[in-house]
Amino acid sequence: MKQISTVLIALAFTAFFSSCAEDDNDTTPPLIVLIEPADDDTLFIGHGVHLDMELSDDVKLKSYKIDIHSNLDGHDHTKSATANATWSFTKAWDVSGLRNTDIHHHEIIVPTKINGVPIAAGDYHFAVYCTDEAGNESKVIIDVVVGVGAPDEDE
Amino acid sequence: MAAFVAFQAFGQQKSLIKGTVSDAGGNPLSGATIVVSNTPTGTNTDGNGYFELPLPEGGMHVLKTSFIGYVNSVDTVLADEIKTLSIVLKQAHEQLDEVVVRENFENARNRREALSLEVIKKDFIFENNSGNLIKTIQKLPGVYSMDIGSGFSKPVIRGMGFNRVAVAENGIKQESQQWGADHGLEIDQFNVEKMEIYKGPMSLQFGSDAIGGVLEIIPANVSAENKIFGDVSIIGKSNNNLAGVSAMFGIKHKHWNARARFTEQHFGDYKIPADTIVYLTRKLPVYNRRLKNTAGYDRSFSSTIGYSGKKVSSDITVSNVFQKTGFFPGSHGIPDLSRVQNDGNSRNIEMPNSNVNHLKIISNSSFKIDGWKTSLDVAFQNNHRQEWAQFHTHYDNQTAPMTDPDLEIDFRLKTYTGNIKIESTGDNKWKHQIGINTDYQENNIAGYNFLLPKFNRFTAGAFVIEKYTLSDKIQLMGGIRFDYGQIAISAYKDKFLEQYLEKMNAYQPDEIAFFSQRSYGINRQFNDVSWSAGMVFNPDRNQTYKVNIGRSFRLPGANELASNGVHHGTFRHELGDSSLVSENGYQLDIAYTFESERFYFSINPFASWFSKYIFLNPTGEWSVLPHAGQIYQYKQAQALIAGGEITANYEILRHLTLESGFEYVYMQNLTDGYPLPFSPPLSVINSITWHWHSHRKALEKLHLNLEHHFVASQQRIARNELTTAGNNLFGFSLNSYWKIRQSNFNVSLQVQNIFDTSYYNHLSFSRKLSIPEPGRNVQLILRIPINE
Repeated sequence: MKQISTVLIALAFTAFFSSCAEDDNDTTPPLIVLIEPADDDTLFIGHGVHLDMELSDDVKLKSYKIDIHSNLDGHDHTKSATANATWSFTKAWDVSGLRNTDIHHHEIIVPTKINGVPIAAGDYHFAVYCTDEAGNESKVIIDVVVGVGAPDEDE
Repeated sequence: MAAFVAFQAFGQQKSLIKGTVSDAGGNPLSGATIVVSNTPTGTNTDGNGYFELPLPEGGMHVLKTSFIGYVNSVDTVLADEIKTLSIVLKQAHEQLDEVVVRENFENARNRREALSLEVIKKDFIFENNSGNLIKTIQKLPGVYSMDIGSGFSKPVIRGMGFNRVAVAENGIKQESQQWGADHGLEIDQFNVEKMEIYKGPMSLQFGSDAIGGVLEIIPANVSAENKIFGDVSIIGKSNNNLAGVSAMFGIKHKHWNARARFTEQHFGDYKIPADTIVYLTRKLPVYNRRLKNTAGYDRSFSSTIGYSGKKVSSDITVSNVFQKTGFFPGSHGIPDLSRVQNDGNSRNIEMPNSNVNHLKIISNSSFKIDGWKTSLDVAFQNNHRQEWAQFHTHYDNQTAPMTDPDLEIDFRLKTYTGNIKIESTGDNKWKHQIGINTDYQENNIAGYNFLLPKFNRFTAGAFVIEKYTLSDKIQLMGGIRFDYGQIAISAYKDKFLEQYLEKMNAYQPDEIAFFSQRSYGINRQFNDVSWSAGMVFNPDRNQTYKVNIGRSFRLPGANELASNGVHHGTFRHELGDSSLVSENGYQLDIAYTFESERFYFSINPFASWFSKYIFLNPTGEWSVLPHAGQIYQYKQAQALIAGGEITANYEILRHLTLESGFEYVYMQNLTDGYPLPFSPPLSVINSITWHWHSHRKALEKLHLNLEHHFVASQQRIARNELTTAGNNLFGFSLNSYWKIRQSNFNVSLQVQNIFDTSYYNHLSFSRKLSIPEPGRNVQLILRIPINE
């Protein structure tokens, strides 16, 4: 009898706590499908970056941010000796209220000079961050090359 | 004061019995347990085998004396006639089953504390030895391990970790960088002889940070006889090719004793059951299934010199623990394929890596006068943590420092502690304890990166704890404590970041000023009250009921008050809030234990409610820092943490025991409705043990154990946490105790994760890096006790 009653207590105890677990919380982060630029693509100095991606969320999106930083020191993480200026770009866009959206623009311009100093060509990290209204966040980080030249005239 | 006198007078009505416990050869036995049958009254012998025990009331009483490895002795005494008693215990022989002698002291101790308590001794640590002390004890119900690589872990008790669990050794709270996600506990597990784990708020005795529980490491018992003793252990593990040795040497002569231990372990990169891992959409190869640059080593030294007299005893302990371990470079920052290429060496420790050195000097003294014992503990600790990573920066104008160019982070945390405690030692109905704890801390920083500001902190607390024996069956206990805390944090302006933001031509001056101020000068004072009240009810020899309710607190840390920047351990921009108040919690803990010779059952539910639980809240505001997503700000909320543990142990056949342990924690932020981060998943451990004893053969004891550990999936996550799938793990251990020609040796063979299962630990640091836990491990320990 004693064993049976203790088992019942244990079951009641478990049931109580697991029944509290059902909430309609949003812990699902947004989905980022980055189409352009792709890994190892080149961003051309003096031109707009062709950005093409799909953002979606199970509830509602909030904002996305593009973050471009030099990776000139590469894997050995020693300081590059370039005299040119490294380019850093950070900007956020509002997409609040949408469940999914296609982002397609050329708003990010790779500058030729920063404060009069030509920018350094080479390896950069290109990161997309996206949040939803609940505060869930996703990120995609790819490697890109900043270089001279011109993009294809396909857009 | 009048009340105190009254208690004393009340207590004198009882009669006191004094005596000694010794073995057949007349050697005193220290730590033997004497209990008055069918009552909760009991005591332990001191270093000289001496004890004093109050008898509850006049008449006849049965005293039961026990000591591990000896046959229990039962003596009947008349309370008013017999005043002294010499008890002689015989060595146990094979007719004594382990279940009978099982941890008598622990059970007695547990029957006298209202708060849930687990007590373990070195045998447990030997038989369950795992990567480190915390991994070793994580089998205990309600205790979890938060792992950092294969070598180091931090403790979690019922879902509370980081600064919410205190670790104390020789009465001194260990102070290191507990708040950090990649910080492990700096304790040598070979040096732990006994440990008590309190699963609930212990602010009353330990002040701030003991809000979730305490791991208290108790100093080794000093042997009663004059002798030279020691032990040597050798350990090897297959998974990370660990090789280690630990040796202890001690001497006891009259009132003096001394002991010293040295431990060193070296390990290589650990093996995971996977050829690739995917981190941030990047597929990273794991060559030979060894996780690159996770090798490390630890080197510990500890020595104690003590004097123990009838009235005065004093010990000085000096210990130093050094730990070095590499970090997997593939997921330290942005994943990079070039950094995970096979370097052909699985034992090298390259950058990034961390070095920690923890030095402790502790003095424990006590004086016994007229039924009162005064203890004075004084300690100095220096925790020096360094993280090395080849110099890297996003700021054009920042160049590598001239000295230690690759030293990214350097913390030197010095803590000075002074504790005084006065307690009544007589066995009266009332037991009194009053004490004062003071701590002063200084944190100094260096390195080319900034994470935690320089600060200093002073805390002081005073407490009173009373225990009252209401009857043979009921004990009451309670206490109250007042604390004062003061923290002064230095401001830190990041001029490289300021110039970088200015150069971007995208931000307003006030934004630049805000982000480049990595910490603000803050000077805060705190006052807190904590209390606890509990009851233990032992209706008969088999059953114990406990209930305890308490209020506890935690001071906000420097990181929670003042940080502003990317925390590389969590890869987030974390923003402090200088207006945070102390975290407060109330906990209700209930326990029922049934115990007979062959059956043990315990159920231990609890619920905690916090009014000012500090957590990191995603703000939805973007950080302007390179490689940072949104800003997470420390915020306070109401929180509920509830759950419990159930354990059962049944000797189905002679020599064969089945054991089950169940643990569950529900953690909820009541303010925003989301689960709290780091909620441990439900888990069940089932094991079957075959135990065999003999005293006539070379093989004295043999324990064979097969274990199944089921961990449920964890779907209850905070925002920006990952859900973790459940898993089933199997383990095997064979522990044998040999005696050949007066020489003892113990051999422990363990196989962990027998089926090389690939799984994640929801609480591990590697979880968010999507690195599975270590694969199969075969481990062998040979321990040679000398004259033990």
